[in-house]
Amino acid sequence: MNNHLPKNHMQSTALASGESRLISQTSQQLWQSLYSEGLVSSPMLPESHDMPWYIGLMQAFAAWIAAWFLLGFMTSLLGTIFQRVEADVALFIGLAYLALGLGLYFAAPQRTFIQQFAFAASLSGSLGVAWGVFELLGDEFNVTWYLSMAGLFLLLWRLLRHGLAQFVFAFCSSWCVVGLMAKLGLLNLSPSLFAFIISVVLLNINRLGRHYQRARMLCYGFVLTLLNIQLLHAFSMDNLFDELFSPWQQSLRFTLIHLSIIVGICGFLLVTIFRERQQSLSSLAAIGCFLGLIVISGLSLPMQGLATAILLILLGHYCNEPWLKGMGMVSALLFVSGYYYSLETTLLLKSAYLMGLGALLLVARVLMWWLFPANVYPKETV
Amino acid sequence: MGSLTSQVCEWLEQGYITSAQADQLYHRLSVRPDASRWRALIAGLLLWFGALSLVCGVIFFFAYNWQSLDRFAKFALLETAILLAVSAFVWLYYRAACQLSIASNTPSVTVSRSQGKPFGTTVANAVLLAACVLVGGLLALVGQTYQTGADPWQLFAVWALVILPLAWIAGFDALWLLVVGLVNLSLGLFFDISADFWLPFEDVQIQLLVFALLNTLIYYVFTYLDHIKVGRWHTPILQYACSMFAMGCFTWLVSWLILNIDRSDSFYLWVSGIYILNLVLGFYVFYYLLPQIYPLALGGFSLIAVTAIFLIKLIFEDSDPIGGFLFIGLYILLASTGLSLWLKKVNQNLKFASGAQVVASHGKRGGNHE
Repeated sequence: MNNHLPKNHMQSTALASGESRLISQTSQQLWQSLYSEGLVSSPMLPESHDMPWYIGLMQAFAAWIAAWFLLGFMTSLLGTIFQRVEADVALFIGLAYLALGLGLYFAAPQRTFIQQFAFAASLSGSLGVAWGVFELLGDEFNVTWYLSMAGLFLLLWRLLRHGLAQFVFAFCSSWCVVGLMAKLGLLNLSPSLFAFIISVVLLNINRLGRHYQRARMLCYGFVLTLLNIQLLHAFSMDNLFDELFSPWQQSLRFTLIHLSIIVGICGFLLVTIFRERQQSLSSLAAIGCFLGLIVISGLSLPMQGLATAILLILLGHYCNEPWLKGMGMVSALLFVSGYYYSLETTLLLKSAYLMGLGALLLVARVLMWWLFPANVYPKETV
Repeated sequence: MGSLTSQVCEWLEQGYITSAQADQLYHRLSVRPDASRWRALIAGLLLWFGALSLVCGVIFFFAYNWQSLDRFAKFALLETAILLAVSAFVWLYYRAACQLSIASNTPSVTVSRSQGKPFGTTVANAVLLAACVLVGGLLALVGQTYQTGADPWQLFAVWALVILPLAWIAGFDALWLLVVGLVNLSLGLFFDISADFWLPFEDVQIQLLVFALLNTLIYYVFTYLDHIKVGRWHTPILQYACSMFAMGCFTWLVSWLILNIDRSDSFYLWVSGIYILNLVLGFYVFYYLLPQIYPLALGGFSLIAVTAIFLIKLIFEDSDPIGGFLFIGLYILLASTGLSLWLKKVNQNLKFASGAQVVASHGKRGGNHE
């Protein structure tokens, strides 16, 4: 076993975390199994830097606010010297902050304050670069702007090891991709592209080793953008896109392309699951699942986004990602609520659709009780 | 599972394990769900989405106000639907209770507590949630038919009042969330028309204070009840929502008052006093009595926000110093980092304490067996 750290360092870290021996039984058990297999040299569990999600969220918000103040400081300082902050000065500020942020990240990656300061500096730097490039390109959000910003965000996502920063920069880069696709007249294909990338990455995430966390954050950043785009459309808020980009022009052709991609991915996932469980694809359970998929696809035509939500639920469940599953469930509810605002049909027709769907799902639930009763024996196969 | 893979990532980053070993561990940890877990997911989705779609369909139908249907027929339809839903709830509730009692009387069968409990996310409670939404539909139909309006504050208040006993019976998070949401909504609508009653609620700052106090009270009540009777009052989503809304209102109100003191000084002092009292009480309760990280984090970050606003007011009120931006930026970073480190430490101590408790109870049980 190649331990990169000296043994005494490990022991000191482990001793420093004396109290954390009982912190988590499962990580302790995992570490013990590694130790008994001779894969690690110390029986003591290293100190964990894990913290609850809401603290991470609040920290990110604090860093975002601090980033604006840091940018304000440099702008007012250079504004005093040069009278007016031009594009090149803004670009200089951005690059300087980016250099500072990256330098700090690599100098002391484990120090919490340094990490938080570096994150805020990187955010400030990104804002400065965005401003500078925008002015250099003639006050316009054009293809070059989106391309350069997407590149910058992806570079930051790739370079930084801080999970929170990876998530934020992945999210920012995904919006640049949306803008880029809008400029190229392919905005309608962006949900399909994101759904495809998310599925490919998640289904192969266990092979990514060192990049596992990075890939996971990319997925969550892209999922958030995907849901944002589809919810904006479901709640008829496309005028936001009109102001930012080219008109949305949602046509049946694009809806069908998106649906076929989602159905293709879901179908592939179902086939994989049944093959892994060594079950026939002509079994009653498989036929039921594929029938359900067809029904959901049909319903996704009037209820935009429903198929995407189902895909996220399936992926989240299959890959043991409870957050992804939760996002899928909440978004499914929102997509159904957004159906209320659809202007394509009358309220009476919508109510008929929903009551029919509800009755169908409940009947399916009852059928499931009868056909696949809960098995008390764990060896059961659906 | 997610935290375990994060742990593996951390070990890899720190150099304790190699990339290939990490891959092996990811594979070992990512055990694919078995048949029973897939069954549970599909059954849950079918039940919840089925019930909610059906209910939404009924609400949409009455919102359409179909003229071809007589008003008595409308009432009859909705009341029958409510009656059916409540009957289904009673049947499912007692069926689950009977199954539990049979299982507990059979020595060969072991049933876990969570399987037979009547509270929380159960099939019966899904049906009851549907019934509660339909009650709202019925009240809206009354308003629609007798021209009293489909969204006066009384409608939402009565709705909350009617479903309150049902929420108490079910002990279900989503139902409690509906009740509390309706109470807040009816209060907000009442504030809109309160000027007609010569009440002092037309002021947005007073409204914010009322919302903050009400939701703080609800949060404390549910936290206390959950503590004294574990499982019966377990409402994590409601607690998250109430505490965040209350602290958000408090933070907004205090920041507003700091930036724009155009009211009498006594109101400003009262609000500041209540805010500080709330923080101190929260710290005492959630650090010493009922240790929890989330309320401590909320209070801490709220205090950082309020202090930052206060510093902005202090520094930029009369002048525009360049260093002011840097000072405030650094203050926010330092304070948020310090708070995070402290919260992390508290979190570890809490986990350590609960781990020690588990070990002690296992030891006790082992001793009893011997």
